[in-house]
Amino acid sequence: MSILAFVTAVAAMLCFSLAMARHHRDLFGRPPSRPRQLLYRLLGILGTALCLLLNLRDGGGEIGMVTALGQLMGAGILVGLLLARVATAGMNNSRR
Amino acid sequence: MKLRQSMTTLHTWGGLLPSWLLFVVIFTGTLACFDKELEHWMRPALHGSSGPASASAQQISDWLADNVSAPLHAYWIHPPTERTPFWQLGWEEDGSGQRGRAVFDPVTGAALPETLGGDFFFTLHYNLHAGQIGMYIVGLAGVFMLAALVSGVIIHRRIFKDFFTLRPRAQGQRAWLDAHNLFGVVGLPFHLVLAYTGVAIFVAAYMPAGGMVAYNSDPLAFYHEVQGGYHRNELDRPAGTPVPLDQLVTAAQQQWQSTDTGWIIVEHPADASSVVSIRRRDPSRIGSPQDTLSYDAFTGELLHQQQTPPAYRGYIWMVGLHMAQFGGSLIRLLYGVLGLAGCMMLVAGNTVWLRKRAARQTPGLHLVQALNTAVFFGLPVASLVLLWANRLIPAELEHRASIEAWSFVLTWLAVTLATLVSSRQPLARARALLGVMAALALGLPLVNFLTAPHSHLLVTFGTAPELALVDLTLLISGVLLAVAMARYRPRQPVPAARKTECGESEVTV
Amino acid sequence: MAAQHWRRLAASPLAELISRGLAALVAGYLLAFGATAFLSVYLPLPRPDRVVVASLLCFAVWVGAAVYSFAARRPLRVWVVLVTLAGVFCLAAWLPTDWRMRP
Repeated sequence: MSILAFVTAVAAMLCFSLAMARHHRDLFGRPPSRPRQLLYRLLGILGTALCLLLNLRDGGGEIGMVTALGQLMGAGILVGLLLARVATAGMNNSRR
Repeated sequence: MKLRQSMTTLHTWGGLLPSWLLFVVIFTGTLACFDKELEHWMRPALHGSSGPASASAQQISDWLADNVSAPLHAYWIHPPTERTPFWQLGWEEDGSGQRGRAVFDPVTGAALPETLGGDFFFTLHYNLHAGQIGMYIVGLAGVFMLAALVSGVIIHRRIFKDFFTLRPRAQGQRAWLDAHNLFGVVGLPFHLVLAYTGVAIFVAAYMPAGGMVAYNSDPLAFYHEVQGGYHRNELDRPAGTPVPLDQLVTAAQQQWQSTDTGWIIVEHPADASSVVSIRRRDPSRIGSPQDTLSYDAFTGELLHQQQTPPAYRGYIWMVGLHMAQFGGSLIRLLYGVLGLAGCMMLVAGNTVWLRKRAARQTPGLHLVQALNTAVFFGLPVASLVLLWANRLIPAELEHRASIEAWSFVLTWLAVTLATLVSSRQPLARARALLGVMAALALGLPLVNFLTAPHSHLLVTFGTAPELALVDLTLLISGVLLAVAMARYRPRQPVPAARKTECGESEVTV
Repeated sequence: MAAQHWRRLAASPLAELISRGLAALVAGYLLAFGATAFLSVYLPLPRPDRVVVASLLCFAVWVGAAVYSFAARRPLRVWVVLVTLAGVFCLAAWLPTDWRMRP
């Protein structure tokens, strides 16, 4: 259950990052359109809420809050590292 | 702009000056999350044994009476738990204040060979093994960290826009600044909460003003009212026959309707005023329970149940939030990862400072570089060597805990000396040390296999996952370190005129 | 000659940095001390709660003072403001000798 919650956290962070021009460009070659941006942000918020809900269900109020926040922060770092990897790979490809 | 400039000054100096000390605090703190798991791993005599846990609190108390002749101010016992499957005992001698520690097999009640255990990292974390003065130094470093965090937030202009940004191939120190920001900003709630709760734990020592003004500096009155506990002064009359400890533990369990008892504390055991206090355990809450029961040691009469005022309960909650002993392994895993992120944030920030001034040949550059290598690499290497020593030092040797401690200290000194005399470039030094760390981490499960037949990965993988996880973490860390060493290569610098399609010139990392 | 040298030193950026740094550390602690004492007396709570809450807030006060020490335009004014505030807080806290120890 915590793995599922973590996956939702990663998905949420990914959505938030894709709402940003720089990261969307790294993955898809162009910045997101305005409606797309709003959609990504909305999905991100939903994912965060879902992660929170799953953690609260698993660990109860107190501990669930802490694990949710921890998972979100961990997911944020992971997504940052992944995006860096993708962006660097993209740079390498474009040079060949 | 003036504010950003002034906050940059505060952030730079507030961050750089205590950075090496803070690295020690954060790194050992991260390890200390797992102090109980490490201590279990460091006691191979316990592994692979089975049988009902039949030793009792009274047995431990009897061992103490048989083996320690000095009159005692107090002693404390903790029954086995899932994470610490052994009896723990500590005592303080009357007069000299000297403290002792021992650990017992839960099945036989026999004393186990001594080891520094995970507690070594915990103590290093909160007072650098330097007693009161160390505690104040760590507290001061914590306040510096808070100032650095707050000023960092004020400086960071594009805090949301750059939230996920990490450009490893960027010019100069940009990549390191990105890393500093990623680990710092995404982990900001964690860093802030842990720095604040960390200094809050010893607030009574750091900020005596409240006790001075409202309790006329009377420490007994202060602690008595704030903690809601019980205290009985010595009567200077000889002790009677104490009630068996197990009887009192059972009474406490009945009172709480729970079998989860924690510390059993016996005060003034040789005096007629002796009190036995029993604490409850509850890892399902962040704040530890504050309903300690105090019994007369000779009549077994219940003298007091702790009544805590609400603000103190809030304080205990903050302490619990910092210590990460609540919940389960998920909490500790998250704290571990975020703690490492804190270390990386610190190292990256330090590196930004270094690189900004490398071209300018600023005075103090070599000192900073040497300190960086000595601390950022020395501490992890020394920690790994400590674990190696734990497996290599024979169990029968006297003072084996001291030998473990010496191996830690001497290793750290050796790394420091090697750094100072080395004529290699900092990059080559760093790579060499990464290699040493990788070798130590990967080699330890092998040493485990060779020296501890019940403790190594092949045995513990199925039967004792909490032990197996230590070996697995070592293997994974070793692989990551080896990968880091392989990739952390200086690349040939590209002539300044040429730029890649990405518009950024490729530079040595 | 020597006087001129000292005056130049006092006006140097390093001197200003040290002054602000010391203000953040020392004067900041004094302000936190005063604020803790003040709140330990004037918060409308029972005594143990007053003292615990006031004490736990002291680090926020200290860091706030540190930010002020560096953000303020003149370093000398920082010292005056922080030490005066600390003094006023301490006075207000210690003067009511019986009331400050009320349960």
